[in-house]
Amino acid sequence: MKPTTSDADENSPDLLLFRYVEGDLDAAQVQELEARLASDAALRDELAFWKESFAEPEAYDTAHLEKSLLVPVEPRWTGSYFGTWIFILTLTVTLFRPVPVAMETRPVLIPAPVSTPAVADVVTEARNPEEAITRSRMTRITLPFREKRLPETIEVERNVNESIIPAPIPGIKSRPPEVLSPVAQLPLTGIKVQKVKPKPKPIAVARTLSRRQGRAIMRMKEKARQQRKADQFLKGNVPYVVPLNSENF
Amino acid sequence: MRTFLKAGLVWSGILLSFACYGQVIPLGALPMQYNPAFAGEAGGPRFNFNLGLLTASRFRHNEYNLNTSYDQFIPAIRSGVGFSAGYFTSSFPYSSSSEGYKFSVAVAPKFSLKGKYTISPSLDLTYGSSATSWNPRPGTAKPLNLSGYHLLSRAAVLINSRKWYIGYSVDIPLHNTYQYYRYRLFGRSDISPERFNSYWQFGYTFQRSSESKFSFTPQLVFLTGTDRYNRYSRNSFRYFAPEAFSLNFRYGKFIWGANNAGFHLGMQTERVRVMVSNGFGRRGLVTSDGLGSDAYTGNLSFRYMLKQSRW
Amino acid sequence: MISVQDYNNAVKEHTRSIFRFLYKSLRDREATNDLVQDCYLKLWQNREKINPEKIKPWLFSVAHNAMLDYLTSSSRKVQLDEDFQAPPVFQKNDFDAKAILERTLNELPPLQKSILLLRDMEGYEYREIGEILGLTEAQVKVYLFRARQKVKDYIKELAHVI
Repeated sequence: MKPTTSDADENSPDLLLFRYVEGDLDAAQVQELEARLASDAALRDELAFWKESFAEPEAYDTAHLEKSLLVPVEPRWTGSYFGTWIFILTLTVTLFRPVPVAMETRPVLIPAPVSTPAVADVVTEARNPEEAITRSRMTRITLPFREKRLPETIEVERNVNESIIPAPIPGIKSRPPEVLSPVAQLPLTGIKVQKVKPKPKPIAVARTLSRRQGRAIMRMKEKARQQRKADQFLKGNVPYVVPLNSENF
Repeated sequence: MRTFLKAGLVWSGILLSFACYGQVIPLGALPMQYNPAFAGEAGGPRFNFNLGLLTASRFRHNEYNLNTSYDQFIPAIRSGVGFSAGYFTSSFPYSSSSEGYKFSVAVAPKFSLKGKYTISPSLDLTYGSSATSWNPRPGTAKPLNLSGYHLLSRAAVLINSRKWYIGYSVDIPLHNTYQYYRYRLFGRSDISPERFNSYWQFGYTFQRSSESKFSFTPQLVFLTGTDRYNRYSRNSFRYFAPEAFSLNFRYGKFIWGANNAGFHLGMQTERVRVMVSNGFGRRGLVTSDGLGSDAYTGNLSFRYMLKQSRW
Repeated sequence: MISVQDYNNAVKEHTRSIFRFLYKSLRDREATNDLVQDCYLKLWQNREKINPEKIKPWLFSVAHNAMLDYLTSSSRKVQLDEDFQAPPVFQKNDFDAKAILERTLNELPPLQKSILLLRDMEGYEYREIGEILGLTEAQVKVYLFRARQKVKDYIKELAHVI
């Protein structure tokens, strides 16, 4: 049973990504897909999996197998004759060439620049003047030591190496605590008691405050509470750190 | 009566957690999860525990994780220290299974500003190991066994008062054979040579006064950094995306709300907090990752304060 | 008609590719050597009929059929045990992604595997693969899609557990 292309839904993301990694999409489709990839992390991950579906070429050593498979070819003698003649000629030239004078090269230090210009480095129109100058700054001379005298000419080579404080709360007057004096606490029998007119309660004051003012008061109270704790901290009465409120975090 | 109520809540939490599964860890269940500077931030010694489960019936896939942490402030060195340990296991029946451990230690010196704020730089070191056995067609070949380990360090800083905090943490991958393998195999990994991870973390409590019974505390973690789509991409891109969040309401001893692992409900006293998160998928509300809509997650979180701070 | 020179050139140029193609499918060096030799033997025996410019596709075609015959006659599935039983690299916590791909490739049906290998290793076009394996271009495309999809799904499954 042979499959057909209709087996796969042309619009499925899988087929789209397959065609993308196979290079079968046209430029407009590639652009559209890459725009989707830029914004869709799941599609990017899916693409990464598709890219992993490619087999990578590996190299195996098949030299021995190749050798066993080759068919032997008959020798081509015309080429060999030519090679033989070349070999004989080379051998002849090697055996009968003139023996050259043995030369020994010894490095000799000469302070540069050499006062006497080398004969071979005379600046002429035919030679490059720069080359002649650089060649004249040489530090090595080749001497034929078979002859024990200085040569007439010197061959010179080129040397290449060169506290926050809480504000008073507006609208609220602080009231001393209602603590009775020792005299007041005595039994009142037989003593004329003077009736004290009660002071108005603070609640009456609070009624006149707006909700906004109430919230401001609450914030100030909270601030004062925190300041008291900070003071305690500075006195060393609480731990070194200010912890997060563990009830809420 | 109260004892019965507590026991019932804990037991229901355990059953519910097992019944509805979960894998993403709710923000706050492990204080040092995103920022090691939270070590010692509670003032007193603190123990945390989280059990998460996940299932995806489409793949018959199950995952479990178990994490604990302990941290406390040591006044003698004016620093917080914390230890964490975690275990996870994951399985696709008949074909593959995976499990791993991780341990970390964190040190967070604390400096006070005017007695109202704390600033805390921190450093931690995590060692983790993972192992996977994989065989897509059992019976035809022996399973492939892979194992690896990672060493990760994090540098972080945290500034906080009683009611807010701002934290920043940077991952410093030291060595990761397992993720390196993932990277080579899939072209992407959580920690890859091209990836730079850092976390911003914010939290604020809305409360009329520190003695009010009701409070609302949103917390948010952003993952930010640079990455490539995968190793075939030439250009890297910057990202700034929510990684985890928590919107927690509290009235007296009851807490409820939503977090990155789902909706949560819990109860707390001065020392104990028990919370159940009921999630919707592998990545909770933040993202999803192809395990299908039938994947469910759930978490059971527990906290115990050994000693209350005197603040 | 191919000459001795053409034949020897084919041995030098294509033996490595044919060997790799068969070895990837069989994972058996000895059997692969035998089949490669059979392929070249058939090439030599049929040298009168073969177009010298189409030696390589002809060799792949013969290699694919030889591989199918071998798998049928031996009626066995390719064993990976020799090369893939917990290689030392894994024990050293160093991983080889190739081993995973080998394993997934091994799960493919022979025809899909041949198409995938001819496409990825030899760089053949759909039409050329169709000529080698006796399929239409559309069929090659669909088989290749299925092969890649399977490999992708295996790797994706692995990605979820690690």
